[in-house]
Amino acid sequence: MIKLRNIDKYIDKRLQRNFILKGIDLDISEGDFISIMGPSGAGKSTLLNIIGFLDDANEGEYFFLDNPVHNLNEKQKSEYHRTYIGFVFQAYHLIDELTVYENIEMPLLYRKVKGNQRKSMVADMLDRFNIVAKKDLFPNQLSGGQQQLVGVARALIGSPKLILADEPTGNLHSDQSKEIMEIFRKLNKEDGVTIIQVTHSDEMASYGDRVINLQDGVIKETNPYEK
Amino acid sequence: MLKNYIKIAFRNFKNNPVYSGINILGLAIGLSCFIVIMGYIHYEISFDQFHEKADRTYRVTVQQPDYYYLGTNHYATTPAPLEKAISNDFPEVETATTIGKRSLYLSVEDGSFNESGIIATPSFFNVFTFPLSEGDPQTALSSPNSIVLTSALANKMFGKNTPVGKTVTRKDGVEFTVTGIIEKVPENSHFTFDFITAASSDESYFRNIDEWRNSGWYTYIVLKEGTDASQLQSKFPDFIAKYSSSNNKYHLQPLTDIHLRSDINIEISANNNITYIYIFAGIAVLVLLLAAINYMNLAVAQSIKRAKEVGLRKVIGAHRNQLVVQFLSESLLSALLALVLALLLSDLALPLFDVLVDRPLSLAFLQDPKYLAMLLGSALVSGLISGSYPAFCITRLQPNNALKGVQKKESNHFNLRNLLIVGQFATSIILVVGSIVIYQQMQYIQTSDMGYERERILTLNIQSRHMTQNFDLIRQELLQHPRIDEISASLQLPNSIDAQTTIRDWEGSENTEQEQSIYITSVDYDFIDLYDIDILSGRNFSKNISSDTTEGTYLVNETAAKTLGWDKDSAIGKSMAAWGGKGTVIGVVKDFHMHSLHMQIEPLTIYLAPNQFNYISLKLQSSDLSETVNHVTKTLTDFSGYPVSYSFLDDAFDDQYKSELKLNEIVTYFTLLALFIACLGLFGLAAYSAEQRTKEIGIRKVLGASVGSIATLLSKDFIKLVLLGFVIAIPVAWYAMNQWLADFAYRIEIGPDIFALAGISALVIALLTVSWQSIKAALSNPAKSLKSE
Repeated sequence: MIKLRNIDKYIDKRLQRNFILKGIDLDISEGDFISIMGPSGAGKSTLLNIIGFLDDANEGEYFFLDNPVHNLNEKQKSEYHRTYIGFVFQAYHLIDELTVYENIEMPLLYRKVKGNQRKSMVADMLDRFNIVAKKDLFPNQLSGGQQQLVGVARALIGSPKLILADEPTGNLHSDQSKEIMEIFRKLNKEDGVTIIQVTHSDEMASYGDRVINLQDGVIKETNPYEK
Repeated sequence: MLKNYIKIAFRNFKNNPVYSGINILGLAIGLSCFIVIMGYIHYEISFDQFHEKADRTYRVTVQQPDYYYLGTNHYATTPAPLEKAISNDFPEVETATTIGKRSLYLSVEDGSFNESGIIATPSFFNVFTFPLSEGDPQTALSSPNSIVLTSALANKMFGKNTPVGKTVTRKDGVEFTVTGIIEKVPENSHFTFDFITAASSDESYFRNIDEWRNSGWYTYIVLKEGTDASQLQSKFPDFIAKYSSSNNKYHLQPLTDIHLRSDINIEISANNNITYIYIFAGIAVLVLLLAAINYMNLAVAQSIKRAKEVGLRKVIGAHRNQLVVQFLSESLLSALLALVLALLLSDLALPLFDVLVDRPLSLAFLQDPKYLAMLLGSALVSGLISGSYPAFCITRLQPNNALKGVQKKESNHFNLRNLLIVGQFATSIILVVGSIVIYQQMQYIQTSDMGYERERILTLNIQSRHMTQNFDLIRQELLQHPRIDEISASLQLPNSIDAQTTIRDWEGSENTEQEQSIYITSVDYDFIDLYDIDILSGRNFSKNISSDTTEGTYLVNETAAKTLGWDKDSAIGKSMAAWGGKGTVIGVVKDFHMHSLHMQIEPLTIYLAPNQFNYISLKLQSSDLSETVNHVTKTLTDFSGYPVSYSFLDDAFDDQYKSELKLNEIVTYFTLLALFIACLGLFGLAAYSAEQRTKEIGIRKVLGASVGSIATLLSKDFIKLVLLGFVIAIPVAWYAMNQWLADFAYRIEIGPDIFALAGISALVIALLTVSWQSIKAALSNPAKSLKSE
């Protein structure tokens, strides 16, 4: 599903080139549940952003479903966002001016889903995450865990093939974290959704079936369990 | 989707009431200034457009090459026979009419009235469109002794009775028959009147009906459709040569140009000046620009907050153009809100503005689709322009940058927002300098020594021969009043001496052909004393020297003495000849401003003619002024049998600067508004910047920064911008105001003090605006500001 070849990402500073990512080669197949781990500043989030087309690599090739991403224009990228990819963020990134219901509904608006269908899809989601009672509240009226549930619900409503989660549990306590991870595992096992998450926690990483270890922008060992 | 946009827009308004309020209010104020001034301009350019043939009606004006008067040799008045000659000689002239201004005492059974009106030839209604509610326009003025009244005057004279066919008696006993009623004379006509009498019954017109040498009437012609006015004008020299030997040049002036583009001698009534229209239009655009800049500035400030939303929407799959549409529709929505508010505001402001400009304005001009489109256009363009920054710049960000919030470069560099603030303050400072300069020039005019006394002087225009013949009697009676100090009679008043003559053959002239034009007026023995005009050498006219009346005697002013080749001492005893015949100069008076300060002091001679006058001047004591005035008018009314009109000389003096005083007032108001708008913007930005830096302020306070140092930190950047705006404003304001002052022969110089005053006031206002926010931010509890992260 995802094929990265010799990806470089760097920042030029006067005479010096600082590499954030260097020579990344990575293959991810459909149905994988992958955790990207590594110390702060290793380039985890950058890698995830490049995979999610939120950022462009400086060098290298990236194929998504065998399409060369480095050649896609902005419009095509947003088409992929609509149809294939869902994002979950550490800071939730809900729109403060919209209610829970409206936040979840938003991707459907860009996908031009009809009103009635939209209603039932959002209702399903609210049901699935047990937040029906909260649907008219605004994000700042919710706890962190609840906000992340909304964030996950929003990511899932478009039935994406790939979920990218940047420290989804970073701001949550352990019970809430487990709840989110359980949802991810279920999605992965039952619906075959590919999941890539960035995390600092071994416990959270253990929900996945493969760990990518990043250090100073380079992939060190692809599978620590083989150690 | 649209619903979603609108929802977001409204919730944004609700969550940021201060920004949104400032934003919309600022734009609304700017737009309402624009509306009000547009209404005024619309009214001014509508003058005389109501005549059906306005587009092919022309006034004939005359240029008299050798006869300069009040700075120009171009006159609005023409000889009486012109109408007939021009209609007969030129087939392209469809019709023509002649009018003249007349103030008449008119009596009917129930009383007499002092009214101002016009005389007109029978074809008047063929040229001008003043619909008659009664009577036939074709014949209303064709027989002698006919009079057409306005319905207002008819009501006053005859009450509810049918006026047509009734008799109105002129003061000299001539009876007029009412032949028509004009419903209303529009106020946007360059001449207005309460009545029209047939020109053939006017003695002066009748006397001059074949006289080409006297000009005193206004001739208007209507050209046949398709006629080229300039082509006709080129035939005038030959045409005039047929009738008159003068070298006068005749011109055609479009009727619709008279109100705004005509500044020639002896206009039928005071006109406005197109320059003022341009100034007002400029102010309107500037104020609107300021408001739009504000609006844009705050939108830019706010949009950084919205970056996160942009990033997120992109992640979810929004196309960039969808986001562009979202931001643009949001700013259009608030622009429309501002427009609605602006219409309400201007509806409230118009009555006040009416008083200011002395015009009956209303929002009705917006029914004109051109103006409505202009207004909608400016509102929408302001909305679009101000929405364009967030729409096009923020949406261009990479989603991961957008999600992080602010672009890196924002805070310290010279960015668009700063540029806009600089522009805004530069504009405001230009306006402030402008209003200070206008104010100081007006002060200069009102306080500078005109060379004659103008306080507590009551002046009366006397038209009755009975009164001039019995002036000694009147004077004696009036002087018995304890609060009347002095009385004088004169041909003209010292603030506007406009009679002019040409003298030859003065002692010292090069030859008998040498000519010198000179202003001239006649006075009685008391004039020089009453007006406190200084005599530099020689003496005033004296009752005790009988030769003053038997032989010609003259006073001249300094300028005249110099122009004629004398100095103030050598002038005494020199001979010259003017209206009073051949005579001797007996004194030189100090130069006084006999015209407005727009004009240089020119040569003047004064001769003695105690019984030849149009004006009586009285010097009053300041106590019980109104009682004294009543006494004077009652005495004179009793004497003549007609109401007399009076004015105070200082009021009449102010009237000479009416348009400048009006400009002064209007510019002051709009400058205040502009400053207010600029401060609104600055306030919003300061609030925004303080909020942006909440965390920084918190950290600095935890590390021990004082309130003062934080307030300074926050204010400093803004103050720098205001100073930069000031630097830009100086040359522009200096140039513009010198242009305006060039119109005055006597004027102030624009010194550094004016700029200092403008700069300091702008700075103080800006400082107050910003520091309120800065201090508030600096005083906030750091625990609170740091908690949020």
